[in-house]
Amino acid sequence: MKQLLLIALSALFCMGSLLSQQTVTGTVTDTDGEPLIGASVSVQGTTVGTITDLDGNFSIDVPEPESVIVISYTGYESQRVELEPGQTELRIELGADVRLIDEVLVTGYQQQDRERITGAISTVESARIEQVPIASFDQILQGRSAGLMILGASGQPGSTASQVLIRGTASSASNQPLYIVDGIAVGSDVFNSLNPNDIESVTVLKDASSAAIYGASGGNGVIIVTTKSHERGQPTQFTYRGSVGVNTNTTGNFEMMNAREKLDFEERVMRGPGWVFSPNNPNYEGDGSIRDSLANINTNWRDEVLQTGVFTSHELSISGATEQSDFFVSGRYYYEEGQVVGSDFERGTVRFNFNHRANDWLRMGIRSNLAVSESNFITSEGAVNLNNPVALAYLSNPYDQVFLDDGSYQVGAAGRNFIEDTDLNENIIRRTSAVISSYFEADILPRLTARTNWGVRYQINETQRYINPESLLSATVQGSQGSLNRGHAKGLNLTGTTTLAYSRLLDVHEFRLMGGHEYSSISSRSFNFTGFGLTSGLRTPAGVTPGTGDNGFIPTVGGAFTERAITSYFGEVNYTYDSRYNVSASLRRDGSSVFGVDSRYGNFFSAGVSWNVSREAFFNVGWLDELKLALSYGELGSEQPLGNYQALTLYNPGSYGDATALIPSTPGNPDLRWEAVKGFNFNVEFAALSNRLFGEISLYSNESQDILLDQRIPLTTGWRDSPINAGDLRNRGIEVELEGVVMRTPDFVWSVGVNYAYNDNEIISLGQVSEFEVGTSIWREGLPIGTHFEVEWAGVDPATGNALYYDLNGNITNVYSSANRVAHGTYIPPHNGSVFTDISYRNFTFSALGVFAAGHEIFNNQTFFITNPTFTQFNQSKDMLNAWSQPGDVTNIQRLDSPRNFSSKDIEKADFFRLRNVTIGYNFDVDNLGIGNTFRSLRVYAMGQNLFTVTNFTGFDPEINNNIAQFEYPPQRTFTFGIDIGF
Amino acid sequence: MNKYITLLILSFAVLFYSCDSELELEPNDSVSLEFDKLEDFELTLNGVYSSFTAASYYGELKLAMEAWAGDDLKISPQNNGQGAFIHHWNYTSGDQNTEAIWGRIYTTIFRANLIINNYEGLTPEDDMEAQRLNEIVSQAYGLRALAHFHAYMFFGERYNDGSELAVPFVTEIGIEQNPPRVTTNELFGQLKSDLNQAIELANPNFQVKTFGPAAMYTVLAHIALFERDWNGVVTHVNNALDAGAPGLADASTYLSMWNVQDIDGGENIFKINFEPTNARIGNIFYIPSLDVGYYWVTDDLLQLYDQDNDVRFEAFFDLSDFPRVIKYVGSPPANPNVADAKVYRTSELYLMRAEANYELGNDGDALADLDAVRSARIEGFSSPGETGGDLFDAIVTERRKELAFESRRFFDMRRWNMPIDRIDCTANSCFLENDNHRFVFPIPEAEVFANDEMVQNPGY
Repeated sequence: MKQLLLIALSALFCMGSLLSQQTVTGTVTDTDGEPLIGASVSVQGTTVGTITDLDGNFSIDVPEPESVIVISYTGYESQRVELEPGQTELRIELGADVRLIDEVLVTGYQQQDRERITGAISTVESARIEQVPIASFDQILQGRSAGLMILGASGQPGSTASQVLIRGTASSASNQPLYIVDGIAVGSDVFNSLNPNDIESVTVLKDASSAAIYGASGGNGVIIVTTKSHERGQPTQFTYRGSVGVNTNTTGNFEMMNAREKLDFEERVMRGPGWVFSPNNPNYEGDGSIRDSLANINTNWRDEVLQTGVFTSHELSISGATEQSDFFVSGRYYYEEGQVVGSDFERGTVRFNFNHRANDWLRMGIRSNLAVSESNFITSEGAVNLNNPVALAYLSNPYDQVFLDDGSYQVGAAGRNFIEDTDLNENIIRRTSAVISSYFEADILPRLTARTNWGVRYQINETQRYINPESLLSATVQGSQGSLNRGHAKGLNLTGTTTLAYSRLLDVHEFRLMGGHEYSSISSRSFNFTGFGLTSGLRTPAGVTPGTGDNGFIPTVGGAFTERAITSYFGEVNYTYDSRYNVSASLRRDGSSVFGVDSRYGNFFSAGVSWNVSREAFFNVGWLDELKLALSYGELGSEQPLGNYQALTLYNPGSYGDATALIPSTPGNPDLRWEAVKGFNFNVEFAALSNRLFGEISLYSNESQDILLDQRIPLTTGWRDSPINAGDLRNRGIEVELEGVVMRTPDFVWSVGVNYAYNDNEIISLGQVSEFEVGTSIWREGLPIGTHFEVEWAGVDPATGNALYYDLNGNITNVYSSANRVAHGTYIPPHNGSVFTDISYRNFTFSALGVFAAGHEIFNNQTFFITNPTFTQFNQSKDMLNAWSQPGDVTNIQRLDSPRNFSSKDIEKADFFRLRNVTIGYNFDVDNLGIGNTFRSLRVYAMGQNLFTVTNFTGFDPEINNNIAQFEYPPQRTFTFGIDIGF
Repeated sequence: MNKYITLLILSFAVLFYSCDSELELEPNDSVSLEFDKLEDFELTLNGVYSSFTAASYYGELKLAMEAWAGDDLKISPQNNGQGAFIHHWNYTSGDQNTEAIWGRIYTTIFRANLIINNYEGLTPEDDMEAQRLNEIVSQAYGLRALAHFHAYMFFGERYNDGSELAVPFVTEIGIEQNPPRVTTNELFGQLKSDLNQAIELANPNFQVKTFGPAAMYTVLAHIALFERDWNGVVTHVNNALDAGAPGLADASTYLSMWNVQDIDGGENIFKINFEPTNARIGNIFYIPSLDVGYYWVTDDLLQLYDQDNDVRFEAFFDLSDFPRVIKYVGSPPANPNVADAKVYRTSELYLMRAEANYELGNDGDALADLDAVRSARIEGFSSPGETGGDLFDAIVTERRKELAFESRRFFDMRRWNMPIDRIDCTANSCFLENDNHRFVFPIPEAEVFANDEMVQNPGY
């Protein structure tokens, strides 16, 4: 029916364009050669169009000989074909709109066909990244690659993900993967200066052999980001993207007492206004009227500190080409207000990407990004005190108010008032950042290409912390008259890579050789000062009073200058026989300034094989279209945990009398070197059911050795400890990525996918010791990293109300002893993954992404404070109303004067499922609406982020990067509406 | 042709950044020392002296631990745990104070070793530099010996015949070492050899804040005292006096050595300089900003002095508020308790020689030295003329009176095989038997754990 309508409409439109036409005919099929019936064929920029017939044939009259023909069909990737002069026939093959097994990937320093790869590499398409209302790209990656896990994504606008783990924790310290953006090695903090919409592709190198080409930097995995260029074959395009939305708050798992309940509770424990003003208090002589008036104040603190923030973004991008060059330019304004009062993030980015083909053997280009941003941020994130607004929303007493009746700020517990702090004081970060890289590529001989790529990332962060002399906080600073703290930090990353690549096809033998050199350095300089004695009204250094011996206003000054560098040589060989058997090997030699002088250089290698089974003559499994098996091994390292000068013996200035002295400060270690990772990977990749189902399954085992630990050395050497490479860890697991088309009809396509990863992390050795404690967690051989270490809770004794615990022999005791601590679970989820689906029906699209993690436990430090009479100065949870009060009560809340200690009572399972993103969109049929002359495309959509979470964890957020949950800024629930217009 | 130019440009791009020197990055906020100029040695020597001012050394623990463990102090009502384990003789190998002082002493030794292990690599530019280098090296050897001697006093096994375990004698630099404990004879042999070498290289002019020959001979005498080499004691005391050790101070000079003046002169042989930014020794006894005194002087010590005529009574004590030690009173109100550490004084030379002569049977010479000290301290003193056992008791008593709170008494009692008998006692433990293993402090657990060669002291 729809086809008939289209035929009729197109016939009408055809009549309108009879000038200087030529007729173009053709066939449209899918990749199996099956004709696609009713595919739309139109001439871009005009109203001319038709559809294919039952054999997939079409005939169209084009007004100009060099028109662009657009062919599209629901559920398939559209194609645009620029007609050659005189061309009258087209054969179009449309590919299914799900990931294909024969993509070309950007891997270390080269591009490879997925077919040829011997390791485990994931790709994330730009469509998955675009327009997500999170400022920082690394958080957007969540759920898009099996084995890639994001922990501790703070909801504070502009913050980057705290931890990105690829295949588990491979180190004792820094676990960040290596990020390469347009050839420059950068840290994850670059992402709050990049516009995620500028990203063309993301490749995640997950296994040891793929990342081994990055040598001592690749030990935690590598994420390669390439920014956009103009799409080949397309005319100049303008695109406007705008979106607006709201950020609402997601916290709210605790039910806190109301004013009367809190006052009654205070009376019970005999502390606080509820007792001080109680008629039952022998030391109080009044009646209950003060208490009653307090009970009538019920400040809703969540409303006071949390808000519905707004979000807005406008972007204009232009891309175009000439014969020899193409460019991509974009500018974006992004503004996000957090769910907490006083937090926001504003950023402007401009990108200019340019490629130029000087002649048939020389190419060059530049990628540049400039960004300026400013954010007001909350300093006390994750602290249990009333300076942390997230904590304030729960811990503040309901009978306290922001303002007293006379309009002045009420001084809350601990002498603070958060609203007053937000109104009077300032916490700002301004960032100015440039990320620029350029390349030259020359085919110096047939099949021999040389390429050099140089890039810098230069960033200046300015922080300002202003404490108003009239604010409550001013009483805590030196001189008690306000303070102004400003810091400047400048960071420069420089990467220069030069490669030579050779490829040769001889009959059925295909060789690729690549060799290269890279130099990379990071340096940062910072300076800060804090001045005191602020003149009221001035928030600049002009308001600072010079310090004298008596006035207490002597300013403090600090700063540092630190740098590191790596020089590397690398090479890779790939051999393919008959497109069926692939062998690859790589070798890299890295020298780093942070390694000890006796371990300055390291060698890293990898080797892998893969077999395209489906290309074998004997392969005849009907339902399997493609099958590839791969096995690889790689050795690489991680140099990030080492400090810039940790291997050196350093001296700090001191004094004796009035003479200067030099005092040894760090012993150094001339053998200090990278943490090593050695890993195996086995991959099965397949396409099945007529290319409707795609999957990749990986099995891996990685051993991390030479983990950096602080080893105790004899005091007789003159030192106490020394950093040494001594620990050993293991990560093994399985990753599954599946994506399939459930249903496909001309109007309706429905695909579903799942990413799942299971990682088993185990500490094998800790050098000198077999375990050591870190706060409430323990590092112990045989257990995973992040294991909680606490006394086991045994409930409340109904007869006495005492808290009960298990001792090491399993007996129940009411005596708490830290000697009875045992290991529990870990806060790093062994299971994690995502499910996602995409539906398109005619012009509507729907997509959803849900992420989940399981098998982990988190210490809920939040409940420790709100179900604890020791902290009666804070509000308490309603659960405390069920505290044990008389013999026979069965409850989990102990008697109020039984000491409340850390125990496994507060360790909770944190399995969760979170609906991360739901997007509903509508693509307007611009040609049919008659606006095809002005608009290339028009799309409107609504998107919801973090819509709901299913979990038994009673804290705020089961996705944190620490073993202790304490009032972190939770991710926001965001609703946005947007429009994308193409010109 | 153009292609080859391009190739050339590209290869420059590679070569430009492939030098090794790019990887030898020096820190900008700290210094690496090469010990290739005299200044490096000067600054490191200052670092050695500076280490003596740490709170874990003369800044507090060297003086406090001995005082807490002895019978000259009693716990005050204001005390809430300070020094309690030591005062009650409850220390174990996990004690933090013993770990701190052990670590600090060996850090000091390490800093001295930096000089000793590197000076041979420096070629002085002229005679003046060569002489200055010798002086620096002399002080390095000397201070290294002094620090080892302090380690021996706290941690070495009680002296019997010299075959007992002392402490490790560390001469090398390097974190790989596991220095073993050597016997007392070996240790003393090394210390004597180092001190003699130091004396040879030293600047002969006497300077009170430089560890010079006078102080070095004093240390040799002190070692001889532990070794019961009485002739050695006499010889070295005489050498010290010849090398420039000042004469005994008269009463008013003596007073100004201890009160707010804290003079460098008087009878000081060697002092460690303390500034207001350093730890404050006087805090052991009274902290003005908190108005607390954790330990009070015992009555039995106070009663030993002639309270009217003995200048030490006025110099050391203030009984107006509570029985308070003001030996390190500093200059209140601006810099209370900032006082230099008096490592050695001339009166000790006399007392050592007196004890040695007594042991040699020269009662007359012993009495002469004892009386010299007593006359200088007590106005209108006339000698009771003790001999024999009485003479020895008098020497014991005089050492207690003169050297109180200078880190001597507890170790003297161990030397003499005498018990600690607290007469004015507010502690849980008031009597430490003369053969109790607690007279020697435990080797820190951290050292035993990390050092394969370490052997713990008996009883711990």
